[in-house]
Amino acid sequence: MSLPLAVAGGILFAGLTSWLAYYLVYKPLRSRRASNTVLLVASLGIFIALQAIIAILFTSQFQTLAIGSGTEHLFSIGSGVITQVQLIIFGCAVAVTLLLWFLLKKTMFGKALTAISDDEEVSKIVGINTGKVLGGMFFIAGAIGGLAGILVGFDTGIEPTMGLGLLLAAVIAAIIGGAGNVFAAPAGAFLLGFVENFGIWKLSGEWKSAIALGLLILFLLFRPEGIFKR
Amino acid sequence: MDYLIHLAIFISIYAILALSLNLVVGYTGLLSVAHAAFYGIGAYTTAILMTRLGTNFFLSVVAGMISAALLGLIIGFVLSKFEGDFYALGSLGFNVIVWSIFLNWQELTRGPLGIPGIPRPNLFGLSFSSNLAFLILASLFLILVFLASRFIVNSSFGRALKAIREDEKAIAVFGYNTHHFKLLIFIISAAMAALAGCLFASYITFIDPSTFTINESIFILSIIILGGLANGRGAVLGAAFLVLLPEALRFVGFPSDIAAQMRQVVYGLLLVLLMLHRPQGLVGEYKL
Repeated sequence: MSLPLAVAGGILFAGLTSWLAYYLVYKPLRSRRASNTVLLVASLGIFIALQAIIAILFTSQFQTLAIGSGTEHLFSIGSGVITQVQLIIFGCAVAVTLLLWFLLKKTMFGKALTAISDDEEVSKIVGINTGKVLGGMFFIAGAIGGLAGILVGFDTGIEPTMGLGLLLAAVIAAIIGGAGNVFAAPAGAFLLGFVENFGIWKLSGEWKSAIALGLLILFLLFRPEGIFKR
Repeated sequence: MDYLIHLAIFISIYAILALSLNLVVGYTGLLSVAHAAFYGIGAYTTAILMTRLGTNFFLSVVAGMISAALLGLIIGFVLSKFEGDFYALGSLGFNVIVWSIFLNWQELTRGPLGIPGIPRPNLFGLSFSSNLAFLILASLFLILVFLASRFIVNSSFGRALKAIREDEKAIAVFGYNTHHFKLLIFIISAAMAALAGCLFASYITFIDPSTFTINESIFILSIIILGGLANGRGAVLGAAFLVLLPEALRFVGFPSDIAAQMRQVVYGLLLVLLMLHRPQGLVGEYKL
C-alpha cells in the first residue's frame, strides 16, 4: 500500500474507533447522567483493552516505521538540527490547529458544538442533533489522535504501550493551556515542551516525566483554568 | 502445591492493597490513582533497610509504614485542595514523580537495576523462608488489615467519611473539618499499602521501579471497582479474581504472553461493562 493511502487509512480507522467508543460507551453513559468519574473509569477500561488487543495482534515489540532507504534529510537552524520528519510534525500541528479553528468558528458544525458545550438541553430544544454532533466530534478527536500516533511512529517508532506517555503529555498540555480556545492547547503543549527540555538541561533526562507531572500539579494548584483565562 | 501457595500469597498482597485503597476511594469517594507509590515506598524501605543495614523484617515494616505515612501526609495535603477529576489527575502526577525518584535516585535505589537479595522475614529464630510459612504471615497481615479497615469504617470516624462521600458541604456545615478527615484516611491508607509493599519485596526478594508504575495503580483501582466499592469482602474477591484470571486463561490454552494480554483485554472490557451496567461493582455499596 502506498504511503499516503496507508496514512489516510490509519487516520480514518482511529477516528472510527473513537466514534464507536462514543456510540457504545460514552453516549449511553451520558444519557443516564453518569458522573465524570464513571466516564473516566470507562475510558481507562477502553484504553487498557485496546492496548492489549494491539499487543496480541502485532506483538508487544518495539517496531520502526522506516520510510524509503532510511536516510533522513537534516536541516540545521542555527546550531540546532531538525529532521525532516520533525519538520513535518511541526507543519501538521500548525495545519491541524488552523483547521480546527476554522471548523469551530466558521462552520455550522462548530457553532452547534459550541452551543452544546454551553447548554446541551437548550441545544436539543432548538433542534440540534446533539448525538450526531458529538459523534462527529469524537471522530475528529480520534482522527487527530491517530495522525499524532502515525507521526510519532515515523519519528521514533511504535509499540502498543506508546499511548500512555503521550496521553499524559496531551492531558497536561490541554490543562495548562486551558479550555475554551483552539490555540490554548497547542500553547500549553509548547510550554510543556520548553519546561521539560530546559528542565533536563539541568537535571538528567530521566526526570522528564516528573518535571511534566510536577508542572501539572503546580497548574492544578495555582491556575486550574490554564494559561488563558476564559 | 507450591504454585497454589504462590498465587495465594499474591492474592493476599493485592487484597491488602485493595482494602487500603477502598478506604480512600470506596468509603471517602476520592479517586486516588497514586497507590502504587505507597506500595513502592514500603517495598523500597524494606529492601534498603534489610539489604544495607540488616534490619529485621518486622522493624522494616514499621519503618516502611511510617515513611509511607509521612509521604501520604505531604501528598494528601496537596491533594486535599482538589476535587473530582483534578484529584485523580493530581494523584496520578504524584505517582509518576515518586516512580521517577525510584528510577533516578541511583545511590539509594540502584535505579533500573533494582535491589536483589532481599532476605525473607525472621522473628526470634523463627524463619519464614518457606513459601507456606510466608503465606501464613501474609494472610495474618491480611486479616489484620481487614479487621482494621472494618473497625475504621464502623467507627464514628468511618461514618464521617461516608458522609463526606455523600455530601461534603452538608457535613462541613455540621462542624466537621472535612480536610482533616480526608487527610487522615489518606495517610492510614498509604501506610497499609506500604505493608503490602514490604511483603512483596521480601517475598519476591527482588524489586525494581517497573513494578510501581501508574499501570499498577490502575490495576489496584480496577480490583476495587470490580469487587465493589465500600465493601471489604468485595476488595478481597476482586483481588482473587484479577490475580487468578491470567492463570485461568493460561489453563484454557493461551500461551503465557498472550494470556497476560488477554487479562488486560478482559479486565478493560469488564471495567467498561461494569460502568455501563453495574457501577457499584460485584458486591459494592457505593456507585461512582
